[in-house]
Amino acid sequence: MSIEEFVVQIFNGLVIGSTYVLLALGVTLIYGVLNIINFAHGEIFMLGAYFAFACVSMWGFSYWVTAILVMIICAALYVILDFVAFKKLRGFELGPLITSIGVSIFLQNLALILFGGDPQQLQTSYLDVIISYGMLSFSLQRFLIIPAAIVTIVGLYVMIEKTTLGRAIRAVSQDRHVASLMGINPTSVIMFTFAIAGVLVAIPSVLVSPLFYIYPLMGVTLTLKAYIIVVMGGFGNMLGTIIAGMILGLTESMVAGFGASRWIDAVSFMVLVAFLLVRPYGIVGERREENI
Amino acid sequence: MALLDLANVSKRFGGNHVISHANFGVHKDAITAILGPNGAGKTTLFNMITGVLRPSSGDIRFDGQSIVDVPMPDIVRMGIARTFQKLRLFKNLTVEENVALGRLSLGKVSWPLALLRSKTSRQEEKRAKDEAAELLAFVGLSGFEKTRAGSLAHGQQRLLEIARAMALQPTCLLLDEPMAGLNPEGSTRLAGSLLRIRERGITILLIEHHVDVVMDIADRIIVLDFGKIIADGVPEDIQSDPRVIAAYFGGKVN
Amino acid sequence: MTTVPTRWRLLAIFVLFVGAQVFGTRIANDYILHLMVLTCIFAVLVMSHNLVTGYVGLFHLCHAAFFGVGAYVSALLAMHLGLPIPLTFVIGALVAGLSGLTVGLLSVRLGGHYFAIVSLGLGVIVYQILNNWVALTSGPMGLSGIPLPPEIPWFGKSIAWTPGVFLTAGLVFVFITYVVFTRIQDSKVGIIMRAIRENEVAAACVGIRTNRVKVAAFTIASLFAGAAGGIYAHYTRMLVPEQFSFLASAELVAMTVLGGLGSFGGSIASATFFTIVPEMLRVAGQWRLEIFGAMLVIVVLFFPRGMAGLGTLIWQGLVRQSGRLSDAQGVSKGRANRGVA
Repeated sequence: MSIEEFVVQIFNGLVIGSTYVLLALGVTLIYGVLNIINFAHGEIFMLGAYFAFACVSMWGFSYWVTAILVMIICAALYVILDFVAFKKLRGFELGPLITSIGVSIFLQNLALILFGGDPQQLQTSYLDVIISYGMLSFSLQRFLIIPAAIVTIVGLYVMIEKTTLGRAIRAVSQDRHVASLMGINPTSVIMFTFAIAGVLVAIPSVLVSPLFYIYPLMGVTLTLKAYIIVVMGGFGNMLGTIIAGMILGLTESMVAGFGASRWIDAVSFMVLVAFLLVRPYGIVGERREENI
Repeated sequence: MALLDLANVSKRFGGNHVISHANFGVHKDAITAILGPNGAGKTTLFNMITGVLRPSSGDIRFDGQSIVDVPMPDIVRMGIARTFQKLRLFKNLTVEENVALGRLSLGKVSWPLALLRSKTSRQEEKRAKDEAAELLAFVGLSGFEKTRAGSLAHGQQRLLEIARAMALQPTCLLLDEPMAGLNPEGSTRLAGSLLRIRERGITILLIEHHVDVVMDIADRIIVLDFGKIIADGVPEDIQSDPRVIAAYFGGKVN
Repeated sequence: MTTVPTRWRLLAIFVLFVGAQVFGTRIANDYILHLMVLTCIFAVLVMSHNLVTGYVGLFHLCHAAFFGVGAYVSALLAMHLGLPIPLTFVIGALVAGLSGLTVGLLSVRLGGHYFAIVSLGLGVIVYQILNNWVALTSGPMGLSGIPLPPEIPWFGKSIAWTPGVFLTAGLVFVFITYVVFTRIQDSKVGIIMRAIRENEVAAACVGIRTNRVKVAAFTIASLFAGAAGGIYAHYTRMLVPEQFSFLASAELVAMTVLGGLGSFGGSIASATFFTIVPEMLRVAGQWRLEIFGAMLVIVVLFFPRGMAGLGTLIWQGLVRQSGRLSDAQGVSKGRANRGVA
């Protein structure tokens, strides 16, 4: 591999990594607050992408207006998802897991029925801006996710650490009952958390989906990847999630660079399994002990 | 030498010292009681002894062996059994099954034999059930064998947990507030049962709030306050110890 | 404990099976017979899934992978190495069981959520291997022309493996599985498993080596799943990786939950329902998965006991038993899974 190819692979890794990190952060946030695994995460992404497609290619909205709209829609979808499938099951640890699988299957097929199985392509002007580097070239669209991810992560960090809402989220994550005793309303905090997760999903769904095709089952692998990252980074741990997401992105990029892209998913999971054997509680995680 | 020995045991959760430098020994065939206001860390001590938590520092020895890194089920096999402050019964199993489990889980019959319902396995099951019946009689729950554990009254559930712990044939029994929710008559009866358990050769370590009952039956009392041991001695001395009185009544709501 | 006495259930199921055999071979047409064989295979699959998820309480998402391993191993050994099918069938099941054992040993100690993800990963890895290792498995095109088992010599005649014979084999298989699993339920092993599901910490504190029990259950379940795969391979004689994907595992979860977690009779009922009913409702073809998904949500929210709950209600109505009810819903909430051996 030449130097240029190597640099491009690193770059690609950052692109993929940024996408994964944003997806994984949403998932980890929800897990931190509610201790649930949501298998329909990728489907929200998918619906966001379809909505973006509709806005831009069918209804002629501008790209950036679409981005805002998709964020709102995804946030709303996530809150509705909680209401329908999770709310009644607070305390039943595996219940939301199972219902989220049901929702995931339901949404995939709904999309299949409503939008048809033909993949769609979201066209943006940024796809046409080509950047060359040596003998290789790629479109500007590919680049957009990286600064977006940086801004989002910084924003998220600021929100969680510095704002009242962030403190409320942290309180509810640690102990919902005690938080409610201290005047925090867990219900609205949870609702906000879901909304934030929706926004986190929306960003890559708008910025990255133009790079490949939009189709009903696109969310399935994404959910899996998000959870690999969450496990590697330590459930509920933001920093670990970010590191793990980048590692996974770079790994996948390298694997693709060596021509074995068919095996990417398998390799990703093998990395995960290897990780779990060595550091089961995540890159920076610690084992959570419970004082019964 | 003490049967159960805690040497300089501390437990931290983040920056919070829940237990600081606990040092004491539980002697064989004695009833030792741990007293202290709520939040003093009594259950945390139990959790460390039984393997639910790992001490941040210090050592816990049982019969001379360190048990700090031993997994929960193996600590049970070494001879330590416990009950819980917040009951942890198998609510959807019957009373009999709850108690028999203790015997069965430690049983020697291997699974393939158990599945084939061989003669030895059926014998083991019968023995477990007979012993369960005996233990239930001992705690005063005869006749409730086939009842669903969750439908017993609270006081009865506490007795069931004790029977279940005894089914494990422990050398050392840890009871976490066994008298909680019992009326005075029930407490007295339970106190009598504890004395009879001691007669069977089982050492008892007890957390309780019913101070008067404890004063009657305990051979030794340890008082815990804010994670530190503030007194350790015979009941008469503890009763008059000014630090204990301050801990319980000195401006604190108990 | 179980609500309906074991002897009665066994008798009922035995009668059911004899009836099914007669019905399948004499009365029904070829298509229904085909569905019945498939139902038997899926019944075993769902029951084995239920053992781990519903009974012990270990949620996992790789069951279809074990099914696939058993199927592919048996098929490939028979096709490429020419080994006799009874042998390949056994090897297929053993390989599946071995993978279950390995995954279990590696990851059970990590606890519920981690385990679910790792199982997911295993499922994906298996699927990727089946799909991408084209030289071995023909990739997405799948295997076809898988041989039938050899004819059975029987009192001078030779019995060929017609669908009717497969039905008998299937029914026997379901019966054996059901008997084994209810044996487990009623033995001390069953009580131990239920204790783990009820309250994992308490189980550890009464000396139960929770991790060992979980690994054992997982291994048994994967063994049976692999066996089901072997039968599937030599019956349908065609395998495609799609059939063993994550989606397939998710469908299995749905079928198990809908049948009632912890109830093996419910699993059989659920497998029957979900194999036969959608096929017969041609209209539902496109919507089948929709219904699956929606029903999964609805059942978990409103009818956590699934079909088993329905069956229990009927039985209670008939016999009016009092007192103890088994709760097929309770799944372990234990998170304090501290290093139990």
